[in-house]
Amino acid sequence: MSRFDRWMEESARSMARRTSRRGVLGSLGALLVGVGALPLLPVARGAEKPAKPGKSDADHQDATQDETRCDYWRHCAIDGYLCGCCGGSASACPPGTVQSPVTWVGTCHNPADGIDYVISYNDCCGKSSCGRCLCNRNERDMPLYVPFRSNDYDWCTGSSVANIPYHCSTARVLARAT
Amino acid sequence: MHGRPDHIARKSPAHPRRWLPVVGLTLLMGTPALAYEPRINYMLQCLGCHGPDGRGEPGRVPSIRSTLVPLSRFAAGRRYLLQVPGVALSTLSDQDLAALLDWMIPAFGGVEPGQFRAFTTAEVARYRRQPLVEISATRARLMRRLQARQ
Repeated sequence: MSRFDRWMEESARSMARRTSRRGVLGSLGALLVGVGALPLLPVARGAEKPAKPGKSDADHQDATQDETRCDYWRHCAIDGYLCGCCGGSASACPPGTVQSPVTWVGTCHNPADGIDYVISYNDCCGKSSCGRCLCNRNERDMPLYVPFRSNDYDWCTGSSVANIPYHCSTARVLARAT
Repeated sequence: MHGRPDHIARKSPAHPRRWLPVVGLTLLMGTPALAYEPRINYMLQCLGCHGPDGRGEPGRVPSIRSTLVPLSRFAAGRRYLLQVPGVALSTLSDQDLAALLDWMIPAFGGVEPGQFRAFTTAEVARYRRQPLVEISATRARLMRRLQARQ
């Protein structure tokens, strides 16, 4: 037997005498857990910068630009399906529907420029409910007994041009609220 | 069954002197500033039904283009304009309401700002708090009166 083979045999037997299989597995597990727990130590957390409260930059960007999101700034007092998810947009009804001329009007704050705008929430009528992107936000919404300040009404009813059923809601910018 | 509680703890009445600083400060502030300019208040309070041009919706929402100016020319018409529910029950202050009507008359009635009798805050305050009970009958009577004048 060569000298190398003898050395390997002695090394293996020596290690087998000093260690056990369970011991190896236990050490390996402790190492894995220890590495995973290292960032949780107070020293590591203390070195990090404190996180900013509120939404992340990506969320902020979406809220100001994505018309299909409920937290889009113009939807601050909308109650219904977003027309942006139904083949239309926040300003236009989907094809095959008619905009109700009677509506309710409120104001929303645009975080992008820090300005309040007058928003008209016109319902789009003439097709069955869109069923996508239901959004119900109620900033400055008033109860039903204040009809011209409540978003709970279905404006497709009572209109001669755009009769029932309700399909979705738009949020058109009318002017800067000054 | 829910009923009125037998014993109601009565709070001690607030001493009038405690309110003196508040009253004084309010008086010092003088006339409150307008929340929005009349054009924006029209959008927020009226446009939803009467539309951007005041034409309303035939048969459902009355147009204010042809009626606003003639109604503002006699006492009963002015009272009606201030007592109709959309005006009287709006969330606007008396001052904002007067400014809104004085903006609407030339904007939708086709008259120059100096060619009509402007509404005052006192006039608004006096009449908007007197409820209009028979709205449709009052409107019909006033419309007949306007037609008779033409």
